[in-house]
Amino acid sequence: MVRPLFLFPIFSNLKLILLFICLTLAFRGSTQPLNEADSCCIGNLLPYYGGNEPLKYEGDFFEVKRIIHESFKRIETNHKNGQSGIIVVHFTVTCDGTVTNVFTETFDFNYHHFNMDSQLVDELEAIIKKLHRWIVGQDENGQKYCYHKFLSLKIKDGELEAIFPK
Amino acid sequence: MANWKLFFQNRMMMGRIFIALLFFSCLNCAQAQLETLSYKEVNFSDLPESYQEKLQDWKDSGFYKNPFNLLSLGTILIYRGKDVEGNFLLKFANDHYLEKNAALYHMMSVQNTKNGNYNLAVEYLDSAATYSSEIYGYYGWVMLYYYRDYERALTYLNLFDELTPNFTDFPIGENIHYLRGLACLQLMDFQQASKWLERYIQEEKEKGKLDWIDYAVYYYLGIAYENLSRKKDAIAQYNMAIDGQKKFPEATYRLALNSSNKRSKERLLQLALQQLNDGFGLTDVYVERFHAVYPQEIMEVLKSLK
Repeated sequence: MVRPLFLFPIFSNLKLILLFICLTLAFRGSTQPLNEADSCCIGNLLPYYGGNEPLKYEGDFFEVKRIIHESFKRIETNHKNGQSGIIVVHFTVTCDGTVTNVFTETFDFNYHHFNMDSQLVDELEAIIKKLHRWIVGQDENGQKYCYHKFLSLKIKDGELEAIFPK
Repeated sequence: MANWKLFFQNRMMMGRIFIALLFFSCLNCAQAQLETLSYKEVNFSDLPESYQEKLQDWKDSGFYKNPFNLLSLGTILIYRGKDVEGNFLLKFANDHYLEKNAALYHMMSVQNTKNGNYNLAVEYLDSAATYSSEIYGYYGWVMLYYYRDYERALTYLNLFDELTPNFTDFPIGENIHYLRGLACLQLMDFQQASKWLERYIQEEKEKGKLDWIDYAVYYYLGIAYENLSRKKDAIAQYNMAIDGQKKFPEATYRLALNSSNKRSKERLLQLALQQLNDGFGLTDVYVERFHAVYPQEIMEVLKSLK
């Protein structure tokens, strides 16, 4: 049988892939605490770029950035002043678009854990919790996805320099 | 036939196919590079009890004996958002390799970057660099796109280029001059950015491979020229981008902004908006593309023209 060359990685790993599908199913039950709101996510957590339809926001990333930038301006100056580092807010977007399981990590510019003004971090976490216009995709059976997502905010001398990845 | 055409025109679909192929290709490449490493077999009883429980049904297959399989499983768990469990498996598998190489740490880093676990991802990349300087190509590429750390991107891309100074490298399939040009553009060093981007175009021209060029380079070069007050050159570049890619809403938008004729400006803005709505914008499934344009921005300009 002639196999298209670009399918080689799939064929050569077929056994491995099938095994991993089974194993991933075995790890479906998350050890991370889930509350009632995200019970639809059990075994169905995808990265923001995964699934048939990646996670979107109403108004696209433009809107996410706009909301964060505008809210950032309103944070009291004394919490921002002199602050430099990367604040990564991790969260889950459940199948109904709710933001849950929010937690934050802060890094210095060498990517080591680093403490930043806790009020600033809390305020940014609160801003991201309020993003409520996520558009979730669904699989072929109409089962809506839940996604794990993060937003990184690069802050330099109290200025919000960049929001990424998307 | 029409359906197939539509299928291939659908960027989203092509993106998904690309990601799936990339994922399994990576797995395949990593496997090939890790196969040469000696390891001690994993004993089922060495796995923590919670893992033993979950893997009980597959115990007989013996898959767990090879740490590469645990590395792959760890990667998949992180992909599914189980960062703690996944990273535990990565470390556990790593401990079973009697010798290490850059590919091992590279593999441990990739999914952590995609999940925003920067401390781990960078730690693993630094470890990879102690085994092979070849990693600097990926390191620079990932710093540029995923970390928005342009200084570091330049440092690592330059280190990578120094390995083969008389040869143009293509880290992760992208021309190194192009990547350096983007890093300089983001650092607002427009002079240097234009030099790198011009060099990329020139080299492709000399090789007679202009058809293979990433047409976005013309768009980015246009932006660099605009910031160097070379408006005419910038417009020429935007037109090159549009000539190459046919539908390039970002370049069309920039042309509109540079147009002094109100009617022409409006027509170009409408065209850019239509093309964006048709899905022809600069997109990437993982990260925001540099200087992406959104419908809201176009609408804002259109509103100001009324």
